[in-house]
Amino acid sequence: MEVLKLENVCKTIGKRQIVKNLNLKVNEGEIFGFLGPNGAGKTTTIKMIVGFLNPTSGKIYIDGKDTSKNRVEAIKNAAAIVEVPEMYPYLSAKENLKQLVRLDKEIHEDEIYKVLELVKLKERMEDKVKKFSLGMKQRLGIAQVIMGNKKIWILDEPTNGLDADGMIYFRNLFKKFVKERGVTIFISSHMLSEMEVLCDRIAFLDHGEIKSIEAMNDTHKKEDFDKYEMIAEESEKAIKILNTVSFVRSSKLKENSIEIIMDKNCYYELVKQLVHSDIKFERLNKIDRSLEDRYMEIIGESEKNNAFNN
Amino acid sequence: MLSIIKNEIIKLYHRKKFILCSIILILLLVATYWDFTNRIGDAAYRSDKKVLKYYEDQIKTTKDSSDAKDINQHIDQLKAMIKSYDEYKVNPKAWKERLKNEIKGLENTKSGNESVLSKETNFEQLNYDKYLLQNNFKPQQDFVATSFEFNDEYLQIIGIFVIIIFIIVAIITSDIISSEYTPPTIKFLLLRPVSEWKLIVGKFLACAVSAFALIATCDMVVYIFGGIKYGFTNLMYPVSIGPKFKYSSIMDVHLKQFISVIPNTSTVVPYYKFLLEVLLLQFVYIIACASFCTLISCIIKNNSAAVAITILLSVILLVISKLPSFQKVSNIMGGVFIFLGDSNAIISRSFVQQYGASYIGTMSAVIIMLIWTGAFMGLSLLTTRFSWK
Repeated sequence: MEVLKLENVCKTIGKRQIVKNLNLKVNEGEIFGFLGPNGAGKTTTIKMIVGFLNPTSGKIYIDGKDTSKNRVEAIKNAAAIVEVPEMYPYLSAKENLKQLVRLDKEIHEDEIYKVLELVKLKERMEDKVKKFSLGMKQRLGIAQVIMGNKKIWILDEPTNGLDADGMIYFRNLFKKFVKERGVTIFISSHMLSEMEVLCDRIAFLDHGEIKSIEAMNDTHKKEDFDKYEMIAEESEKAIKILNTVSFVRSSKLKENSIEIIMDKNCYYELVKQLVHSDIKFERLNKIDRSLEDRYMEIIGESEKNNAFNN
Repeated sequence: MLSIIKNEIIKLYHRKKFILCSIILILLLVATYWDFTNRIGDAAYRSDKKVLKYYEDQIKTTKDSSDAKDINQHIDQLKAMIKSYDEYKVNPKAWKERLKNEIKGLENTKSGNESVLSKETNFEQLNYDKYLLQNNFKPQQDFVATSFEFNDEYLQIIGIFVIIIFIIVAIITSDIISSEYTPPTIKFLLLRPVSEWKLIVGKFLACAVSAFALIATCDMVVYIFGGIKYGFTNLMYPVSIGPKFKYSSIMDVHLKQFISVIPNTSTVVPYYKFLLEVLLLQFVYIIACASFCTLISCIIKNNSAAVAITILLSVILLVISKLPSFQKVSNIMGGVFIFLGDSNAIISRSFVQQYGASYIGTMSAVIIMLIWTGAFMGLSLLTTRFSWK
């Protein structure tokens, strides 16, 4: 069942079309990434989802409820961080969460202490938020999201300001909530490595358009070639020979190793050819394509085209 | 709705502006006490003697006979007041005799060429004196400080500086919406399952209740302090209410307003009723001011600009109301909420005499202010769409 659905969502501000005809569905218990360069329209889309902005056209549904028709009912099932989580600086961390409890009947006051412990702020709960660092504010923002057992968490750069430990801790925490409570997470981030290990599916957004939605398991299967890394004794000789082999598409020196791009499933033929050509090599590893490669392929291509058109 | 109001009140009490309002009110209380002790009681006696000595010196050097007549009149009045104070000192329990004499004097006043208004003033005084005598209440005198007089002093000061209440409401309310934009805590609110109208109305009510709590606390301090220092006034003690007026096409020469007195409409109300009416009018006035400030806050999304514009608008209105050319149409002031802050003047009907707004009484003032409140809140709800770009 889909918890979040966007149907032909467009947003125009002034003469500029920020978001163009977005269509996506996020399923229950899924971690869905929203990836794109600065200005791609990620935050604008998130603002439309949570009701900060109205779409110029199109529909957004949270748990089947149309956000433009009934924002209150739709947002009941969601929790969110948009940009930097804002709280009342002159109130304590605990009082900020109490304010939240009073505004949302589905959240109980007992949860405050549990979540403060979970985000490691229990010892500072009586301190005013104005004394908090960006990382601590981010933790408090995450505490707000955790409260109330909401169906979907909409997170815009949630690990912004956190140190490495914090990022790992919260990544694991998010996974734990998805696994144990069936929470759905819609997350936008610039951190490709974070998204790669966290998300089940990722939408690549560029210039307000979704270029591709891919399951992370499939990302590596998309290409019709394999990539290998080889360390050989005589690199130049090896490259020369490799470039004459029919199934090798390209080979080049990259730092201390040789990068080989060749047709799929030709590993044994390659080894045979190397032995036959008397090339001594120490290592021959298959390289899995990273999210970064895929991102560069989708977004980088578009950037190149734009630069060319301009 | 109650939880929204609670949230807003907690936020208000944690902000510096609340301390600022408390300081303003403490200064108001100090000013009341200072003025009271310099005007009433022994100070009044000493001041009368000083003025008497001044007039006695003046009469020695005055050669103009009409001036001398005026000065002698003043001297007689002052001597009578000093005599009455001396008598009171010698025999404080003889007030009944003095009151009976005053009643006799008023009853024997022959109706000659006096205006309808002065006849009504005599009628008002006569009624009041009779009520005092019948119910065994001592009349108030300037040279005796009582909690009744102290409270009256406080209400008069509030009446003169009516803008103080407005400023307190403006400080509390004017940035109620705009403060959510800097820093953008509006995001915190919009992410909760609460509708916009509930947020606006909840914020408005929280401000109105907080401002009223501050003013009512100030009222209570005056009442309790006055009671402890000068003795509590009996809650059945009479408060004189002036006559009713009606619109007239002929200007009243004394009041310089197009109104005429309705004879025999002066009355007396018990002190508790008067105090309750004061509280009611203060509450409704605060509500009207808070709704106005809420509207400004909905329109102007900058904290300091919202407060500054609200106070500036009110000052401009009050200045316009003092312009001589405005006096010709001063009766319209009763229809504008900002001028209805002097509860004492409205209840005692001196507001009608001052501005010619014959339609103003406690109930009509309440209705007018509630209509303004409805209009301001309606506009606030219609014009405000929360968003965060």
